[in-house]
Amino acid sequence: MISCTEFIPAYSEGFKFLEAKGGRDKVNEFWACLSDLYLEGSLKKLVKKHGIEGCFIYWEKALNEEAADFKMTLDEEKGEFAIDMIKCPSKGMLLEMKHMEPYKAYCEHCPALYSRVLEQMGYEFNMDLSQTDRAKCKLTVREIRED
Amino acid sequence: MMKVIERRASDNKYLHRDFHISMNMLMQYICDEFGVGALIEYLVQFSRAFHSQRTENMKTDGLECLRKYFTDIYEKEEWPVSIVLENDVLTISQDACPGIAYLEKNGHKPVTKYIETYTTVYRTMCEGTPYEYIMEKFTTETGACRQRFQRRR
Repeated sequence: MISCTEFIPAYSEGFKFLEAKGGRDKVNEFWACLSDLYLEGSLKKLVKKHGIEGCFIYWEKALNEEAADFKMTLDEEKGEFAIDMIKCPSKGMLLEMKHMEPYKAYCEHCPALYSRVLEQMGYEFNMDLSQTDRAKCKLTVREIRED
Repeated sequence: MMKVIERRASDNKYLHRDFHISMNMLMQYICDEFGVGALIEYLVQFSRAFHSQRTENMKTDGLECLRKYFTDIYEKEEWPVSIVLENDVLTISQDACPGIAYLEKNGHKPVTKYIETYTTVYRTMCEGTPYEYIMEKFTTETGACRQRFQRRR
């Protein structure tokens, strides 16, 4: 059994495996496939129903279940949603596991998965991955308004 | 409207069961792209990397380290299981697999070779140790199974 609490190292090894088999393109292809399959019924559905608040609903559940250290802000008036990830549980776990080497581009799966869904729905998506060596990052989503 | 949430890691228990779904999607993708042989290859790679310390511990501490490990992950999964270590044999019995149960409950079909997340992973974990892994019986639909770790014969 691979427990859901062991998924992160399994995921990281999976990315390495795919890259060894088919190069970086294969990893990107998998992320696109996962985005379409996994986020269709969750994030996409919520954003379709609630607008940008759907982001808040989606990540509130996910980040609480993942026991993340974070600050999440929704400003509906400005059409902005942001996550300040103080300590990402996934990257944090990989950095703590001294006997395993994380996939070098591990954190890139986040923008790959989420931008694909949100940009298609008319949102601007950005992620600052400059501090992932300390398991920190920042995600922002903005409604694209014409005025 | 403005909404703000701040959480510390210690505020919540780490249990994101949707990871069972992502894991299954990863395994299905590997099977679809490269075949079942590649899935097994991947699980061997994962087990050698992830369980490497446990493999070393088994060589020196025997099966007690595995008893502790399995007790811990089933507790985290909040899943009923029987784990018995007796006469240097570790027996693990469950009426269902937490991963398969979660997938089925959420309308996902477990990858055909889901059993390999047990057999390949644990056989690999035993490599180079005095112990072997035996899957006595496994029900594909539910993941009900009886597993045994014992001294190699």
